[in-house]
Amino acid sequence: MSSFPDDGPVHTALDILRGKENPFESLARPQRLDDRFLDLHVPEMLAQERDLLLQVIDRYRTEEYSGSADLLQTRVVTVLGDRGSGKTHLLQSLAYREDGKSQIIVRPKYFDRDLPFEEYVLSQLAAALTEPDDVYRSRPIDDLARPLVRRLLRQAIRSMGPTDRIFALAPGRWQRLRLLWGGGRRLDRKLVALADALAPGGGDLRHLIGRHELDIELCVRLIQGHLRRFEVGEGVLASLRRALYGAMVRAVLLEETDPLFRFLDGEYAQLAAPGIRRELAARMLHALVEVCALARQPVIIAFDNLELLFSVRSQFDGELTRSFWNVLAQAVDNTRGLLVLLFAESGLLERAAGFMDSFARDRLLQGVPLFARGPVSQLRLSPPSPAAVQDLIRNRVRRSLGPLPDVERLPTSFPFPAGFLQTDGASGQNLRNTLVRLRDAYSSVVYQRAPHAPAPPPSPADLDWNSLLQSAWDRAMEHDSTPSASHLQQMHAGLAALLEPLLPFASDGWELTAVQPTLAVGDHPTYGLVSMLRWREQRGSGTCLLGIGFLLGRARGMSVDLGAKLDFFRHPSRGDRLIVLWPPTTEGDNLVELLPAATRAVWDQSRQRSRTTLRRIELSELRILMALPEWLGQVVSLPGAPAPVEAVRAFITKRCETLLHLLTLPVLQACNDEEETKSAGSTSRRAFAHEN
Amino acid sequence: MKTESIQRTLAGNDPHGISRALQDLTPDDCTIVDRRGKPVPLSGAGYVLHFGRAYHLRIVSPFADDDLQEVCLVSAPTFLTTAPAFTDVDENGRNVHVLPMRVTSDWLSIWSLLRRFGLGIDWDELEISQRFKPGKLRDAKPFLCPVVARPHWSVLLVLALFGVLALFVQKTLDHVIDPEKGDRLDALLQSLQRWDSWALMFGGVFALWCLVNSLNLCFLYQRTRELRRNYRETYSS
Repeated sequence: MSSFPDDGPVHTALDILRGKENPFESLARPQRLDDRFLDLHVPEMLAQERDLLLQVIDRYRTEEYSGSADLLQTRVVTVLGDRGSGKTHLLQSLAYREDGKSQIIVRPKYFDRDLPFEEYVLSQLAAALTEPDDVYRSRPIDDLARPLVRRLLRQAIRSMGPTDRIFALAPGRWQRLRLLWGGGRRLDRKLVALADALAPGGGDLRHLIGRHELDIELCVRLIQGHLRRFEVGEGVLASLRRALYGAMVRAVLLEETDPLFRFLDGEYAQLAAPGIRRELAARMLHALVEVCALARQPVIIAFDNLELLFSVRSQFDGELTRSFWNVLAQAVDNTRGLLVLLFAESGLLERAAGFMDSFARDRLLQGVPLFARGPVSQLRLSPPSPAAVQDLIRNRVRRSLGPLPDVERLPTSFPFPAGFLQTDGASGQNLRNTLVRLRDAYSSVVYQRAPHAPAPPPSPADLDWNSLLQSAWDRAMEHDSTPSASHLQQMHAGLAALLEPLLPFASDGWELTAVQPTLAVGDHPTYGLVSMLRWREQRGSGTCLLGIGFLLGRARGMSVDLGAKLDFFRHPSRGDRLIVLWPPTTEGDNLVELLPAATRAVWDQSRQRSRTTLRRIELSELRILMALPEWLGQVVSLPGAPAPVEAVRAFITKRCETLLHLLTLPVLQACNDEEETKSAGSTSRRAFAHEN
Repeated sequence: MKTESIQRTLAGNDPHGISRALQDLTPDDCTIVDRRGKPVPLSGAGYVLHFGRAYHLRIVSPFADDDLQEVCLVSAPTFLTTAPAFTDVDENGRNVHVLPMRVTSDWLSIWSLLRRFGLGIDWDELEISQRFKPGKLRDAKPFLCPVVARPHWSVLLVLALFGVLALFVQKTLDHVIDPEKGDRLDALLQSLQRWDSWALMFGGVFALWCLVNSLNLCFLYQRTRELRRNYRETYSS
C-alpha cells in the first residue's frame, strides 16, 4: 500500500511506474565488466572513492614529458571492499570518465611467478594496446600512434635544411634549372606551412597532408630519415624506438598496421643482441610506457580478481601470494610510470597480507601522494550513505518516469515513504545488499507485491554444476580476440588452467604429475616461453619432461619464434621432448612442408627435430586456451563456490577433449619408444662393456 | 706542447630521456634578410648572398631565453664577416636572435678579386649553434643552412669597362702597327661614335657575360647536385 497522501501527481507517477520495469532489478544482479555499463551506472554511487582514484590516476598523467624522470615511480594502491561493494563497477567507471580524459587500463587475468615483472607486464600491455578497447572501440596503439607521428612529421620538417625542403618536393629538371637563380622560397614554404599546421590536436593527418598537396610517401620518407638522423646509436632503447616509431609511421600514414602489430607481437627482439632478455623486455616496456606518456595516457595495471590470481586448483596458494607481493615490490623499485591497482576483498587481503614480508610491505604501502592529502596507498569502499542512496533513488525513478510535467512536485523519497532510508535499513549495508533491498521495497510499494522470502543458500551438492560451469564457459568465450604472440603468456596460463584441475592425469600408461605454466627459454622475451609438463610412467620409473610451445610468430617473426622454441634444448636442455603447436592457415597433413621457407630452414637446421613434434592446433582451440583463465575467474565467483573438483574435472575433460588429446598421446608414444631405446641402449652398452 | 682546453657538453642525468627525434632542437625559423629586412632568394644551392652586401641571419629558437647562453655561427665561412648576435622582435612579434654578417672577400687574393669581379662564386654552410647556459643539461645539434655568395650586377659594369678597355687596346695596337693611322685618342673617339664599334663592344660584353654566367651556373649546378645527393642519402627510403 502506498503511504503517500491522496495526491494527483503521485498517483499519476505511480501508475506510470507500474507500467515500467523495476529500475533496481538490473542493478541488484551481480555485474561484470562491459555489461550495459552506461545503463547501470549511477555517478552518485561511490563518487568520493571514484574521485580519489581518478586523482591518483591523474598524478600519472604527464603534462610535459622530457624523459623517464618525468614518469612517477611505480606505486601500488589497494581498493578494499566486501563482496558486492561495487569494486568491479568502480574499476569500470574509471574507464568511463565524465571529464573526457582517458587512460590505458590493463587487466591481467593471471599471474605467473616464473616470469620477471617486466616480461609479464610487457606482454599484458602489448596485448592491451593491440586489442580494440571495450570503451572506445578502437585499438589504443592506433590512438597513441597518431599524435606521435604528427609530432615526428613536424620535427622532421623543422629539422630539415632549406635546400632539403626544396629537394623533398622533387622539382623537375627545368624547375631545378630555374632554382639555380632562386625561387626556392615558395617550395620551402609549402613544407613549412604543413609543419605549422601540425600543431597538436589537429584533424586527420592523411587528410591534412593531402590538403597541402603533399605526398604521403614523401612524409614517410622524411620521418624515417629524421629518425635515422636524430634517434642515433646502437643501444637497445634507440634501436627499439627507431623501429617502433617507424612501424607507427607506416600504420598511421600508409595504413599498414601489420608491421606495427608484428613488432609488438615479438619482432622487436630481433633488434637486440642475444643474451639480454631481461634488459630487452625492460627497455621495450619503457618505450611503450613512454609512448603512452607522450599522449598523456597513464598506464594502469588493475588486478580485479585476486582470488583467482592467488589460487592454484581453487586453493589459496600462500607461496604464490608471496611471489606476487615480491614481484610488485620489485616493480615499485625498478619501473616507472605504472600505477598498480589491486581490487581485493577485505578478508582475502588480510589473509594474503600474512605472506607479505617487510621488504614488500615497505614498498607497497608507499602510496601516491596527492595535493593536500598525502600518500594514498589504500582505499576502503564504504557502504553508500543515505544521501547517495537518495540520489540513486531519484535518479533511477525519474529515468523511469520520463518527461512527467509535475515531477518536481513529487516527494524527494518517492516512491518510497518519507523516512524509508532510516527505517527500512536500505542504507548502511554494502552496495549490492542495498540494491536488493531497494528492489524488494520498490516491488512492494509500486507493484504492491509482497517481497519473496529470501531463499536459503543452496548447498553445493544440490547445484547443477554442469549448467553453472557451462554458463560461466559461455560468458568467458564471448570475447573474440584473435590469438597472437602477445597472448602467449595468456595461452600458457590457459594451458595450466586446463591441466592443473586434472592432476594427476593419466593417459596411455603415463601420468601427468605437475604443470609449470611458463618456463623462460632462450633470449626472446615474448617467444621464448614454454609450459613444462612432468609425466611419469605409471608402471615403471621413467619420467618425461615435456615442453609445450605455441608457434604464433608471423611473417619474419615466425622463424625467430620457432628458433626461440627450439632453445628449449639449448645446453643445458630444459626437458626431454617438445611439442610445438601451430595454427597453419592451409590444409595439409605434413606440417613441416607447410612451414614458410625461412621457418622451414630453421626446422631443417635444428638437430633437435627428432625430439620435437610439430602439431596443428585450431584457432578455436587457441581461443579456448586464452579464455580459460577468465573462465576460472568466473568459476571462483559462482554461487556456492568453490565448485566440486570432480565437477570441474568432468567438465574440462568433456569440453577440452581434443586439446588434451593434442597434448598427450603422440608424444607420450615417442617417450615410450625412447624409454625402450634407452633400455635397449643400456643393455647393449652393458653387453659392450662385458665384451671388453 | 701547449695545452688546450675543451668545452664538453653535459648530456643530462637521464639515460632514458625522450627521443631526440621528438624534441624541439632545431630553430623554429631561420631566415636571412637584407638590410631592408627583405628575405633573400633561396636557390637550390642555398640562400643567395651577394658580395659586398650586409645581411641579418634571423633565428627563432625553440628554447627559452633563460636557457640559452648564445646563438652563434660555428666557424663562419671565410667569405663572411660576422658581428656579435643580438635579440630583436620580428614583424610577427617573435623574439629572434639576429646575427649580422657581411659578404666580403680578400682584396689581396687574386682569386678573390676575380670572384669579386664576377668570375666564380662561393658557397658554404652556416653552422648555427644554440649554446646553453652552464648547468642547463641540454644540447642541440647545430643547424646547417647552405648559402651561396655570388656577384651582383657589378659583373656587367666590369664587363662594360672591359669592353671599352679592349677597344682602347685595339686602337693602341693599330697605332703601334701602323703609325700613319693618326692620333690614338682621335681614333678611339671616332670609334666610339660609330654604331658598329658599340655593337661589337656590347656583343663582346654580352658574350663574356654569358660565358661568366655559364661558368657560374656550372659551379652552382655542381653545388646543387652535391646538396641534392646529401638529401637523398639522408631521406632515401
